[in-house]
Amino acid sequence: MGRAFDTLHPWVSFIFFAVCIVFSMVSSSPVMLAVSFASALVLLCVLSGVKALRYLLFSVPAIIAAAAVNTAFNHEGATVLLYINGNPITLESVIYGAVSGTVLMTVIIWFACFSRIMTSEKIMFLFAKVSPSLSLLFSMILRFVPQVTAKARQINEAQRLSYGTPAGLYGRIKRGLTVIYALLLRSFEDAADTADSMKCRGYGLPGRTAFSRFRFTLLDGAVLAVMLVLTAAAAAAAGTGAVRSAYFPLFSGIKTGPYAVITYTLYAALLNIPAALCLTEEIKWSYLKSRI
Amino acid sequence: MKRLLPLIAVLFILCGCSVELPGGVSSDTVPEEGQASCTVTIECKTVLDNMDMLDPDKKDIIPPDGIILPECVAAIDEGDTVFDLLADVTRKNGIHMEFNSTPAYDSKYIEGIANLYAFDCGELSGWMFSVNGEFPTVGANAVKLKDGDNVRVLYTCELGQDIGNIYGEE
Repeated sequence: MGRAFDTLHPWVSFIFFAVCIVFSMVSSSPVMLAVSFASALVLLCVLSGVKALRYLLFSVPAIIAAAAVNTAFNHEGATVLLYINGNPITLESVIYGAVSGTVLMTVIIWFACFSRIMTSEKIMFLFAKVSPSLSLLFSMILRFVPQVTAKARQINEAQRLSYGTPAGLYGRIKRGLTVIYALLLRSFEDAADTADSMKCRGYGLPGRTAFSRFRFTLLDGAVLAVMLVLTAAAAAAAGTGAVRSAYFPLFSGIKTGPYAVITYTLYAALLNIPAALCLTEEIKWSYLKSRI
Repeated sequence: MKRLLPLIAVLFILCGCSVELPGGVSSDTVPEEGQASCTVTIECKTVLDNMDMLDPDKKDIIPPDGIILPECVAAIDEGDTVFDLLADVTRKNGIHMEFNSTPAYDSKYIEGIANLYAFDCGELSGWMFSVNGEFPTVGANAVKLKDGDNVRVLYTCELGQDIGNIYGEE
């Protein structure tokens, strides 16, 4: 699943993620945050299967930790629960901490979706014109860590096959140093190879063009238009202050006015565009398959 | 054992904390016969003149007459400071109070009383206190009280000018 979203034009996907992440970070409404959290989780499930639900398990301790840290440093609020070292622990501060923890987890889940969809090829395509060296650097950094980890594992296994598992702390430190030494040598060699290879292929020469498979189709245009209209409408509705929640000195609760409900609906529709695309594609596919 | 280390560390930190539940309004502060006592008031009348500068979220918590704690008599012990007295009366009257403690400098800074914080009403606003009409130039936990002192804890919007604490006046 997820092909329908993956084949969209990189600009469309990038704008979608930018909107999601910015909205999740700036909106003060718990309902909008909950909608964003749920939508991010649904999209991640669509993209990488039900195992994405393990993020729910991570979220619980993260939210509790954020609430605990916030109450330790922020004592504002009208509802005093108890006093620790003379300073009040308030209900508002607990709520605010939990909301911040949820913001954190929501953004993490959106970025998990982001890394599934925005491959380094797409990032190169988006930003190569703006800053070729920066986007080249960015995509090299992105693959640097997994590459080095993989190399280190290879070297480690080769060492273990030749010399066995090291015994004791001293042996382990010695083995670690051997692995790092080999890893450094290999990395130097690879860097020199990469530089040679890039020079041979004419990197940095004037008139060199890059080929990309991305084409802005009618579907991309339609999705982008719907997305921009929904974003503008949701931003305008949120701008009226209908969904704003105050946390201090008293938590103002969840807004349920007509404008607020309209905002929540538009926001939910906006965030679920990719998931809806993928599911539609899936339904269409199984329908066509069933007719064969 | 390794896994227990963080748990032990947390327990160790928690042991240094005193935890108390908020009690209802009680009259423990009323002095007994022969015990030393002070009069205390907490006021934020200056906010009423500067409502346009006030944080909009805080409008509802400002009392209409600007008096958070009307003048009352409170018992003090030997060596009690203004901070001890303030902590005592706010706790016993169910008034919120947050302070920032820096043990290295033996300093306790009152950030907010009754959810009204420093800088909530303009950038020159905050809490100040006077003892018998004088504004000490040191912190509230450095001023020791004696029997019969009159303590006023006042919110200023102009760095003290509007509550009679004028710099440079002899």
